[in-house]
Amino acid sequence: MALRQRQGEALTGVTLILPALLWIGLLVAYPFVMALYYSMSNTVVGRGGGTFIGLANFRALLGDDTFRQTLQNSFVFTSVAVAVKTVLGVALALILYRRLRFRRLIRGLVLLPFVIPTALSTLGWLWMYDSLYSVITWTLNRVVLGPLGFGPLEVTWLGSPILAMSAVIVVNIWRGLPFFAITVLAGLTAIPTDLYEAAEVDGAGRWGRFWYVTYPLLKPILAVVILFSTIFTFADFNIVYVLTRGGPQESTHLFATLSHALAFESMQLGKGAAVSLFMFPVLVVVVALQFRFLHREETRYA
Amino acid sequence: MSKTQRAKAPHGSTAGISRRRFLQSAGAGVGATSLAWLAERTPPAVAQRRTLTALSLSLFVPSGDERFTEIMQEFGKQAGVDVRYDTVKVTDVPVKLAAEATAQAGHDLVDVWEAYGYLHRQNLANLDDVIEDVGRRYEVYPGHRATFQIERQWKVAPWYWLSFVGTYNAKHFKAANLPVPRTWDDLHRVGAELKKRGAPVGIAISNCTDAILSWRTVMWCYGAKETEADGKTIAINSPKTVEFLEYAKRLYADAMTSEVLSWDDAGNNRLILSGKGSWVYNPVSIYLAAKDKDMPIIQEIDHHEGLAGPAGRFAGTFHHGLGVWKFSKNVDLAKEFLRFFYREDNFASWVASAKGFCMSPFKRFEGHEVWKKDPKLTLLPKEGPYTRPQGWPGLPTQFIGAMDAKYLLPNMIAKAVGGTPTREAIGWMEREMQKIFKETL
Repeated sequence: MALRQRQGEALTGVTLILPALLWIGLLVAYPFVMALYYSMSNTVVGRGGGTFIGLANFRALLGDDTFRQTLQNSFVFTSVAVAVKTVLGVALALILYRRLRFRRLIRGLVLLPFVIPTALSTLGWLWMYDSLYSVITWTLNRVVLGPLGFGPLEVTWLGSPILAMSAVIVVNIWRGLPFFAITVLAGLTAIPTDLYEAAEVDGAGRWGRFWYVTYPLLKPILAVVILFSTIFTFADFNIVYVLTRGGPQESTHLFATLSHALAFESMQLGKGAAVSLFMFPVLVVVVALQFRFLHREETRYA
Repeated sequence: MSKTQRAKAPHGSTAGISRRRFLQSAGAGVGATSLAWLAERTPPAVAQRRTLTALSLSLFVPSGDERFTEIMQEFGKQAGVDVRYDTVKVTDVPVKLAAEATAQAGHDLVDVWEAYGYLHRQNLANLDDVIEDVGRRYEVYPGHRATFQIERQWKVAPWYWLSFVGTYNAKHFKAANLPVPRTWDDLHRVGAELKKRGAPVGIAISNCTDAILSWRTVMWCYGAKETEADGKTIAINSPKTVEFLEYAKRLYADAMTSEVLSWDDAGNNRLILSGKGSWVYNPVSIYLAAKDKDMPIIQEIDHHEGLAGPAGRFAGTFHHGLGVWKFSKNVDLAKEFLRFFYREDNFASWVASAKGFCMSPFKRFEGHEVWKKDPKLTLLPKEGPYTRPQGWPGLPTQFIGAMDAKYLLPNMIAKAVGGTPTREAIGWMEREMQKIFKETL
């Protein structure tokens, strides 16, 4: 009777997780396996099945100027954006942690950039960066340069490689900062206040309390947030696609946008899949490093 | 149920039925229904009425889409079928085509332009029986024939093309006492003067389709080309290309501002509609937008015919057509719709609804009222003989499609105007083309 009951429970368990497994299988595992297959073939959309060509697509990409530029762009974009989001995210969380008037409202408003659909908010930025109607240029001229006696500045925010890359990084930071701030804020609220009291008694000032109490206890949260942010930022698509389509002169192409251009505009499905799979080993390394760091921190504090 | 009774009841029980029993019964019910449906193999009777579907980009002139929908609905009533017309952003159409071709499922009729017809030729149905008859009645323009009669078969039914003309702000020209340009050299001269007066000219040098089409037109007018007529021999590295690129550098430096480096396809529209710009190369969307919104600048906007270069006068365009997927379950129905659409009254009414923006691919409709009513639009049909398909003197094949997906031509010009020596910029484009040809051949 007990055995039958256990078997019945096991069957119920399997039945309950089966939909989730099917979901993951169909929407994650199947596309991944297909991408792997396409990346090792010369499949062109509209021409029927391609033939197996091994690693030829990957070798061709490594010799391709556009791909090498994209590789550089992705690392610059991710490292700068994540670094700035980390610093600003912690700063914003510390501000939100204080007793402010309308704290709940402010915390809610801070989340808005993260909540608004990316393509929609990026369209707003497209207008702000417009070469004719940029509100940023207008404000700079009216509020800063004009009163100082300097002539009107005409800036093509999306027209030069450096400015365009800076522009997409700014939008990514604006969008991702709330994720950092709110997650770090959750970590801050979990820190026992008596640790701060003890530190104060020991003579620690504001900086001392942050360095010896807040930061060590925030490290595990920060590690997780940085991990997720790195993955999301590395795989970003919407911001670059809406703002620059990878230009000017491929200076803002990321893996996702280059993959899209190759697979769906150039119809080279094999090459497009190969580009998207290049992200995989990089992200695996990032995840492994982060987990190693987390494990070390857990062991230290255990 | 009391606390004691609940404590003694089997795990997960409520009064009368356990969770396990519920799951077992529900699972059996769903399984039985599914099996019965699969065994029957035909959908319920209510789903058997056919639906004819079409996919296209959202026309700049919405009334054109509305009229096309009406024509589809009229056809649907006569044929006893449901119809659906889906429109998406222009940049989404190639993606949708790729997805439908890969999945071998999707719409029945699809909007296809330039290289996409060649690219998807293996999945497009043969429309000879429809177009040969239409051609006899209306005479198809050579540009459409070259673009859509692929490997001696009509794979795409001609629909419309866009007439790119010089769009200018007459007020700036009058204030500077300058004539309207007739050649690209004229444009450089007047553009330099207009820029000094704060009214620059503009051609996009960025990742957008306007940039590809406009600069390809200039390139042809200077006798340069990307490939030879066979469509396979790369011909970009030539003295003519050097001459063309030197002209582009002069035009950018003397007559434009750096904003053209960040334009999307609406950038040139904004330049003229803002009142700041003096000249762009575009279809008449700027004029129609100003007319639609009753903008005061409408009085200042006018058009002139395309410009000539040392090698003659040519005009780029996008030839649009309607393809029918081979894998569609309604191939014959789609062909019937095309015959219905091509009836003189229906097609003429659709041309009228597009307010002159969409040019007829047939000589028969050259004299349509829509281009006679407004004096600023009368020149549009006259551009027809000068148009060439993308890839000319070759055909708009997958090579051209792959090149354009990487915006090679605008990027070559961007490099040149950004300081890269002319021959180095041309060499770069040649190497990129060689890579693409090697991969797509």
